[in-house]
Amino acid sequence: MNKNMKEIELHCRPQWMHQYEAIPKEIWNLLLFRFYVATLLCIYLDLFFLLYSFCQSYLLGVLEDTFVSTVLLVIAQPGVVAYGLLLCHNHNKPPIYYQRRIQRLLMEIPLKLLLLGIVLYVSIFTNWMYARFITDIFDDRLDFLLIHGCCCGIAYFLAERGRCLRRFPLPGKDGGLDIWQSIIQNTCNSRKVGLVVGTALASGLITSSWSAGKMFWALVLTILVLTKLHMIKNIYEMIMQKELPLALIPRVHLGDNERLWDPVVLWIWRQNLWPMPEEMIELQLSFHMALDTKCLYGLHLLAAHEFHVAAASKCDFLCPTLFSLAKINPISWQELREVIMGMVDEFVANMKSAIEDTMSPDQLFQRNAKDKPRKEGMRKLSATLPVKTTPKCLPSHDHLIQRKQTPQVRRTGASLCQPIKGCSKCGRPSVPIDGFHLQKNEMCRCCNVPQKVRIWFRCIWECQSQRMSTWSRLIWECLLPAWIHYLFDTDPIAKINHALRCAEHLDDVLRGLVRICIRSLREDKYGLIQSDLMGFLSALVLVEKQLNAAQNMKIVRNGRLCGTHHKLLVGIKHCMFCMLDHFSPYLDDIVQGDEQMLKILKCWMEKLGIPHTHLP
Amino acid sequence: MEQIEDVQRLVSDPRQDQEAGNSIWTTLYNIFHTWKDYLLQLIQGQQYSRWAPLDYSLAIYRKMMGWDEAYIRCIILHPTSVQKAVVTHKDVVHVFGVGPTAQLQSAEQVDLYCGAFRPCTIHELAVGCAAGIFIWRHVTNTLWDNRVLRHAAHIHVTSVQWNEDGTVLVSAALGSNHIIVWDPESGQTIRFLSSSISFLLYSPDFQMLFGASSDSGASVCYVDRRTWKLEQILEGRRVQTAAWTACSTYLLFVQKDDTNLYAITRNSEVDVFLKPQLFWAFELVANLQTTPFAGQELCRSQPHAIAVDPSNVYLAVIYKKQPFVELFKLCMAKHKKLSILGPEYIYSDDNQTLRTGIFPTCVCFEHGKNGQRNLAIAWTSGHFQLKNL
Repeated sequence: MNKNMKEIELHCRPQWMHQYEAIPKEIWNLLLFRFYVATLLCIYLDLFFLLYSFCQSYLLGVLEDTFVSTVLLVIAQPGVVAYGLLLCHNHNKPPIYYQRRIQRLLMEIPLKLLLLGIVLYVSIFTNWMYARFITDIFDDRLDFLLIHGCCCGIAYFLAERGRCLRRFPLPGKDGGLDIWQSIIQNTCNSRKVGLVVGTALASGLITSSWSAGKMFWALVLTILVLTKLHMIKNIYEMIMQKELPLALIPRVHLGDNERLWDPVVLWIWRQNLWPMPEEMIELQLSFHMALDTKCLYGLHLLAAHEFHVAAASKCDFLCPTLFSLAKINPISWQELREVIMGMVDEFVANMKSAIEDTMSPDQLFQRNAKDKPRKEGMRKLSATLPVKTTPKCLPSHDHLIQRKQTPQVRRTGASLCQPIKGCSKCGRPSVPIDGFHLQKNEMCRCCNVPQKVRIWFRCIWECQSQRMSTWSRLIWECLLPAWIHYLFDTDPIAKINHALRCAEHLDDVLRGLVRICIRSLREDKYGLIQSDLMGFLSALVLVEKQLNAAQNMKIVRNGRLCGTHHKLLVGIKHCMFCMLDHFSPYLDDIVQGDEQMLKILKCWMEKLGIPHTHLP
Repeated sequence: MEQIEDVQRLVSDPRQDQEAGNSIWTTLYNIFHTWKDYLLQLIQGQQYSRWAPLDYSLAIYRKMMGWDEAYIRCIILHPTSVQKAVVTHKDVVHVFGVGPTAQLQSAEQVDLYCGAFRPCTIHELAVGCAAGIFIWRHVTNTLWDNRVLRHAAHIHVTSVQWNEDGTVLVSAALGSNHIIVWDPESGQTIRFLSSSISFLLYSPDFQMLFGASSDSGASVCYVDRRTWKLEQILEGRRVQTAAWTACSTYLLFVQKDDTNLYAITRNSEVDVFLKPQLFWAFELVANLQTTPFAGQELCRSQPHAIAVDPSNVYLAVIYKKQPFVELFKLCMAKHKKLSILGPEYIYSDDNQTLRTGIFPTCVCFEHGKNGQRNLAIAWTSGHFQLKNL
């Protein structure tokens, strides 16, 4: 049984989706189950039409219509599945770093073309199928149906997915509207309907099959096809963004007894009030597991959102479970804390790296000089530095030392081992050694014409290329049109934006953490998180520092920060206000003598308008 | 003969047929467009339809709130700090308390009705007006930035409420069919709750949102994670003003043209079920018109507004055209009915005006720390009084 389950598991995970190999089995089962449910719901409307057609055909005694409709339905469904799969893949794809806009365009074009192809496939076959269900006026006009289906698909693609591929929105944002209201509103957008009807009119004129009756049914078909396309998107969005079954349980994988259809069986058992079978386990994900699944970006964002909601909601069991388990098992809190602090550390490291890469060499030098500790006291009078260690892979240098020739070596930079090319006649290095400054009498001076010609040509090439780069820069900046610059210019702060986008979940996670800290004032009887408060405050200060550094780089490099920066900045201010407002009477105890941190927090309190006169 | 020719022309004239064809097409075209517009209006406009004409709603509301004689129409207090704001009859919001004072006004900001400071920040407040909701944000020392949340049918916003951590803003508008839940950062609507409400009030524990209509009825919305569940608790009653007690146990309210103070409280069913259904119990607390004082029974007019102390000690009541604020003590004992004791009268302390002829227009308790209790009162003379209790 276990072997069969493993085979099924491997079979379920396609080999081409190698980036999803690190997904825990519970999360994979949950996503698969949701995907299957959403797909079945999408097919439901078509089944309804098929049933109606079957009844009609049965009454009229014409069964071949139903057969054709069934065939069309079967052909159309792989398109629905492919569309849903593409939406889910796009939703969970992590952010990708592009240095230039043209790179992003080139990488996204295949995906957009695939999406357009799938949408056209679905719209054409759906159009054909629905035309058979509702009227027979188009039975002899397959070309009209084809053109009409294409128009619907293109109109939908341009309106919904044309410019940018968006993820599913988080629950509560744009998803609160009733799904049918949302579908109808999107479908009956007058511009889309007008576009499709206008195109249908034109195609009718082209194929010379235009009549008022056909136009009316074309309008009905348009609404049905657009409704179907919107319904697919909304259903997948609604199902995939449903509430996650998160619980504060240890990060231990559940047994192999869990099957994909267990939630359905459990639901049926519960509705009938039957006793629960022993081998059935209700699927639950641990907070740590869900927050740690970085390869599924969309799920990661959802888990962070759910964590925030659970921490803030008084009806949820996260905080009561956390604080009541303190005496029995503090490991749950420690695991959660480590995951969250790990996210903060990762963000800080990524931002530091991105900011360093974005700095110009002058700025980097100034920053390093500023960071380097000043040497106190008198410096040594000797000008030359002693040779400290010689790399072992320099036989010629050893040879020099063996000959008791001690060159005046001044190390200027890199100290990597590299082979030295020595002259066959005199034994001295024939080419300069990186990191070592040799005097003229230490270098080989034997006549070597090919080498000299090579050096001479190299010097000319370097001079000319410098001159050329100046001219090419002038041409690049002045003569080329704006769209070339837009597409091909390097985004100076692309790395910073990439680091920010990868940390979008941090806003919800930090807000949730702050909610737990505030609730601990009343509910934490055992002082579980008391010792961690200083760490949390330090983490908030660090994150804010990186965000300010990104803001400075934006000004210096004349770039544009993404929306995540503003969102994180607002989130950090919110978190700092909540923490300082609630913990200001206890800051002395929390900070425990760290004068610098106390000073920073006092500055924050002054900026936020929180009284701090009681602090030293 | 001519008539026969005319008839023949009518029957067989190709120009006439052509005109007939065109007129049929024109008719069909008009019908198509009419039905399309109607369908779109039906879908998009259903939520925009009003349950009462706007002018009628405005007139009732203004009379109910005593708008015409009020200089200060609304007092806005910050939930955790000493920041305050008052809304004047000139549609200006005066902010003071922390940092430099500011006067917030805008050409579009007319007919201000309500406001609320955003929790977890010191520098942001939402103000409801005729155009929608203005969100003012303090940018630098003297500079305030604003943005407007608008919706087609959500004009003359009469009530705004923030949730506990300031991530969600709820608003109600006069004559509108919906309560709107907003995401303040993006300015988008999160949810529409179907209810004709003009007054909103979160419970102190932020688990429930009370909503009352100026015309009839009141509802409570249970807020839980992703669900917002509405339940009607008062049918046919015209609520003038309401306030929660600090423990969120009782909701005190007064009806229009009535002098009684009522309370409703939640009770759960006798515990047989794991999740017992909650039901609301309604009781009369006191008749405010004839409350005894110093051995005498003083007659008062109808109550205009009430406010409850955050520490559940005091209840402040202001009456229509009465020059004082009446202060009661709340008596909440377990297994006993809620009652109020011993009134105290607070008059205007403005020495520059006579006590007669000026009345309080709005009152609320400050969220004081360290046991301090302050009562903020706005008078018709424009005087703002902060009484320490």
